[in-house]
Amino acid sequence: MHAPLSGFFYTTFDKKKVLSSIGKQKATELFCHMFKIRQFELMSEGIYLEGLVAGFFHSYIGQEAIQVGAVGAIGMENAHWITTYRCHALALLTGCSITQGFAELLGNQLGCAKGRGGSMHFVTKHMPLGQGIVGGHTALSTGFAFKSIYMGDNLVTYCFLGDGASAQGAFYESINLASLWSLPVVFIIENNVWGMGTHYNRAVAMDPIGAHLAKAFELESHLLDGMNLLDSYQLFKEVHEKVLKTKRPIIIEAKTQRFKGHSRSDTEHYRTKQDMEEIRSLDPIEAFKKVLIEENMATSDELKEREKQIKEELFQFLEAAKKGALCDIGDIESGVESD
Amino acid sequence: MGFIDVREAIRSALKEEMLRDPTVFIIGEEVAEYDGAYKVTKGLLKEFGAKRVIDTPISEAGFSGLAIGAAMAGLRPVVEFMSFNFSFVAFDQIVSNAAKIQYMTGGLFHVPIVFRGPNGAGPRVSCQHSHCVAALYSHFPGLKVVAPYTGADHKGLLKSAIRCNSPVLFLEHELEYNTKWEVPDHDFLVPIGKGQILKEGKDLTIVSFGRPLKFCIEAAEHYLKKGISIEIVDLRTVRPLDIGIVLQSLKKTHRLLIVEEGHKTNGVGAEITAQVARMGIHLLDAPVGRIAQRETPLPYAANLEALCLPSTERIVDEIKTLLRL
Repeated sequence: MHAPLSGFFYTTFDKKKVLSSIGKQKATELFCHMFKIRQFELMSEGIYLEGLVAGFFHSYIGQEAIQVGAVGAIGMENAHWITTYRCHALALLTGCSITQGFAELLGNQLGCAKGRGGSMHFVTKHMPLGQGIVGGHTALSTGFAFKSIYMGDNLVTYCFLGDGASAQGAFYESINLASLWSLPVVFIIENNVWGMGTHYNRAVAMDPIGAHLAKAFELESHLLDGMNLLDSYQLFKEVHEKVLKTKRPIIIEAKTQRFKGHSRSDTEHYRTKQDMEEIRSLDPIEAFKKVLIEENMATSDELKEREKQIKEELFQFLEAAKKGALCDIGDIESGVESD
Repeated sequence: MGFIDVREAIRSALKEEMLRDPTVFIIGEEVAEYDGAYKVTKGLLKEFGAKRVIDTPISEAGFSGLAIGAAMAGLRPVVEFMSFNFSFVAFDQIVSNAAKIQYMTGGLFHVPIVFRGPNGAGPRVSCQHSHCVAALYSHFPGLKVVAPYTGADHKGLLKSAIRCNSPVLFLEHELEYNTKWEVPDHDFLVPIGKGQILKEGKDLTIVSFGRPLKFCIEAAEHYLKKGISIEIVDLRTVRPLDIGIVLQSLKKTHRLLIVEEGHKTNGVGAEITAQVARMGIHLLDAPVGRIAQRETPLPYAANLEALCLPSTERIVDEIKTLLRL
């Protein structure tokens, strides 16, 4: 295994306490969100293989517990959410309907970005962008946090990035400004081990990344087991309250694994079959399902029924998305700028 | 109406817009406590406070990106680059984000931001501090590029730029900050994208923008004494380009010379020439002339620098060729 999810000091919580604070209904909802995202990604890959989707396509499969925990704990309207080109999940969690998501992949007018962005650039009112240039969005995220100070609102900005972006200059400048000016921004390094095909130990001169960065820039940091939904949920809940109180940025490094290649075109020669078996055994959805059943929050049958419902719904949403009109040609060069 | 220098014209635009709209703020290196590297923002910290006049570290990518994010979130930042040469450090933020976000978000987000500062060659500042970015940034859909010459245009165009809902690069010139002009005191706007005739003439049209217009005017005065009248078109905005005013002028003069401080290859002159060739080739009685910076990084040595930049002498010479004098 390339990156054992052990040997680090994770910020962890008592699962029984967290579960009882979440309650039965919400716990099941969180499970459904993870499952929905997983299904969306699987079906999207399916229509990609059918030739209905093109371009770069980055799957979030394996990492679901991180963003589901974050948005579940904080609520989409209490924050600005900014992420990378691996953006489908966060968009679906922050206001993009499943139909709009599929339609954006299909490249039609119903899409969340009216077919202008595609897989890498999903967008919602709460999630201003999926960023295509590695690390560039970290600077934008400081701007959203700056606005919250300037206008005196109570929003916190959550900026997700990968381990690969931890080697980008824009990120260092952004942490410096965020710390220097005490901006309410949380950087979440989703360390899925591989920056495309390069192991993070060959790309970033520190490990763990978040803890070292935080120390250098005088910030608080947490290491999160990104495969554990309850830890994710509770950490984001506490971090949110803390940032609102202190207005200081926080860095979270979430150790995770992507189950798929970097993008659809990745041949994944850098991971063996055995690696993949071990990685899949960490499935955050299966793990949470087990917890829900063990802790009597849901029965296996109930969850199966919800899974079935979600699958059926998603097929309907996909059909609706396929009915979306071709992108409006109008004046082909319109929409680029304003007066 | 006051007789003020360009620096003060810019400052009065900033001041008026900051008084009008509380979401307007200034951010950049040395803009606050130092009063601006070129003193453009002098006194603004005192008047508006540290919340709205913000000193940054030397961190162009960081603070440009921050300002773009703030603009997406509803504020109206005015970013000062100490020199537009430093904007290259923020190139990804300007090009991948500022220029493209409105389009790639299907219009859900806008980027009402101004990047301003001195552009082009300062006094003997050599290879890495002298580039004219007009052609470079005007290549990108989603950016507007403004390069005023007169004092009134500095004020009126900057006010329009601050109110514009798209990113505007506002190109000033270090060597023009001290030039004095009559500038109206009242609140007025100059529209982005409209050129103006600086001087009427009938024998040849010079199209230019920004500081080189000074040399164009001197060259025109030189020829006026010889009975040759030259029309001067001040583009004021490089993107969007007011090609209409150029074609109108050519209907009268039938000869075209384009003068710019940037390089010739793929320059603003190349674009104007192509558009004139497409829409007005029948208007031309002579080949199109172009004066631009020679194809070297700008040298330090005084004699080389003078030869590389557009100058009155070079313009006078080129006109001689175009008019077959």
